[in-house]
Amino acid sequence: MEGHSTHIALPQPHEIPKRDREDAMGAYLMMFAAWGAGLPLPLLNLLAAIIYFFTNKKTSRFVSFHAYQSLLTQIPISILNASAVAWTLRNLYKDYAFSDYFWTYFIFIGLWNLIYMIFSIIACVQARKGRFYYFWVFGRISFARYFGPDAVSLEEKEKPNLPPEGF
Amino acid sequence: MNRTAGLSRELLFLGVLLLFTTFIGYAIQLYLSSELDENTQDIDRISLAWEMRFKTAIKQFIAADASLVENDELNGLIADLARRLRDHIKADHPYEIEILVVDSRMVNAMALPGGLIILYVPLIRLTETPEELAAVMAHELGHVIHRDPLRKMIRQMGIAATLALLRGDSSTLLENTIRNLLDLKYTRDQESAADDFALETLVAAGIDPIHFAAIMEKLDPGKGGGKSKLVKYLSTHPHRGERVEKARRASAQFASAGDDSTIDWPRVKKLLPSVFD
Amino acid sequence: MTLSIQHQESYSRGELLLRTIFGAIYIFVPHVFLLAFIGIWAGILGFLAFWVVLFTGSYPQSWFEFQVKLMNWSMRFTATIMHLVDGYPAFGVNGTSDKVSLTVSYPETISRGLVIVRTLFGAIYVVLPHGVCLMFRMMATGVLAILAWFSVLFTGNYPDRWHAFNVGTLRWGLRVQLYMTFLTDEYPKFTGKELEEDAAPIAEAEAPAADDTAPARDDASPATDDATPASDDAGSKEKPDGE
Repeated sequence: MEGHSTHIALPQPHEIPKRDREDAMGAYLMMFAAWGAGLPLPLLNLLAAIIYFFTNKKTSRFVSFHAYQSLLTQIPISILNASAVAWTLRNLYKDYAFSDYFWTYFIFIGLWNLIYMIFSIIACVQARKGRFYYFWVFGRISFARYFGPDAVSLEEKEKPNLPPEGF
Repeated sequence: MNRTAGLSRELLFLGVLLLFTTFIGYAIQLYLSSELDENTQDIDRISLAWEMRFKTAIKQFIAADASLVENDELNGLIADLARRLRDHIKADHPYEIEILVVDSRMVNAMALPGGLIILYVPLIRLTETPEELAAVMAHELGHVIHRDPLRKMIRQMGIAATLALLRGDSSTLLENTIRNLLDLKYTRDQESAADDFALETLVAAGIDPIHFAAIMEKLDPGKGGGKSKLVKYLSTHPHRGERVEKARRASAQFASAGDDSTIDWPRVKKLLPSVFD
Repeated sequence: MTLSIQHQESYSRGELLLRTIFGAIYIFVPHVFLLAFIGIWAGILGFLAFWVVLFTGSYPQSWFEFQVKLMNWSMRFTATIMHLVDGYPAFGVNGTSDKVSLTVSYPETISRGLVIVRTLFGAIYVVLPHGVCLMFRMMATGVLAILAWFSVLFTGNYPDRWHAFNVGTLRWGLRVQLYMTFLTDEYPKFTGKELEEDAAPIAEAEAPAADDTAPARDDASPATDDATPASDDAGSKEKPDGE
């Protein structure tokens, strides 16, 4: 039987300061960043999620977990959306018909955007309450990164300078 | 539960959801596209006799309109082209194909119920070779063979009004109907099927499908022709780019059997009336 | 909020000329370029903050501090470009200056109703009246800035009252900006002067806000330094008899 407990103690809601909770909540709002910038480019959301992750990486594990999870889930959605935009533009530019396959794909992507939005908002609300919320697969990856046995260290590499051996 | 089992379970859930959403997407798309297709059962209620009667009525109407081009040589040449195509139609059909040349401002060709095809003068003028005109005729023949004009009427007016019109119950609708038939687009599938028919028939008749691509390309607002007329054509025939490419592909596989015709086409075009230009 | 831009005893003529002739290249271009990009990010955060405030009634503190620091940077840059201070403005949101400082106290709650009112009617009851006043004030500031340029060139001194007036224009604009971007609920006053009620909140900003219960971080990693730059007040307050 594998070890059941995490390497690092999970903070409970009452232990998480308001600031961290707000920062964690903010991670899930990055999918709306494109609206904020005024350009409906799918990759803008991904870029916002990446920037948010990197600027909040060093705050706390709780925030980092949520930021990382948000980033990971944003990646496939952005790829899907970008491909739909590319396909549409290609059809318009080359004066092609929008085939049945296209519409099936389009509706498929629409459904996934809806699913993503709903679960992101749920995660957003949970994060603000100081709760952990795990998406399928991506939640596990994020958790393993910050609370698992091989969790990353948040500090800068400590003590790069060491005396020579023997001293 | 250990970690791997948990991960596998979630991957399974994700996979199932992906399949489910694909299925939903396909179902929605199928539902939406079927809404646009005509109800094929209705069309069986229309007998050939009614179609022929309607064709007669249209011919009378056009003749009365005084826009019919009655140049014997021109009509004879066009009939020859039509025969060449007709002889190579594989499908069975009950129609007696008739082709009329009508003078108008429109760069267009139209298939009507009963096997009637109308070619408008500006379109003929746009062609550079008789093979290009044959390509247009082949496309319209495709619509005729597939009974697309009737489907259009049913889609636009409903089956009851269509039956009434064909039976000759309401003669005042005739002019409006013809005008509306020209405006209403065929569905993408109908156009695609007519294209396929045209390319197949052209090849069977020994005509290079490249001429189909050529005439489609001429209908580009960037090149010659009055803009408003061409825009009208394009609005009823979208996705030109894809159709041109399909014709090119067919042409690449075409092995030329005979030479292109030796008709002096520029001279033939001079036979066209120039009332509207 | 408190904006203080130090009035120097004497101004360097050399720097004045350097800024005038080459300022576009070595000050304007680098700062504006960076400010533009960071500004896009601030715009995104601002847009998202609108929704957060609408749903939660509170502006996220780290975002608030980011916006204020960005404004701080912008003020450093503006003050230098307008020849109000000498020296080269520090880059970055974490940059500091001993001559220019902006402090805004963090509001624990933002009124949601007011957010909606500001969004729908802000153009009418804020932008229009303040915009008109600021337009005239900026014209005056422009004139004074040109005159002050000559004054510094010939005497090495920027007249006190002109300095205060120009800083007041910036202060007024900042107040409107703070109000319209939901960083404060206080309606901007029609003045560029420093106000007494603005002086009080500085003490609050230094103490941590009371809402943080047991602010222990997960693994004792050092918190990023987000404290507002309230420490450099000594000697940088301008004289209160502004205009």
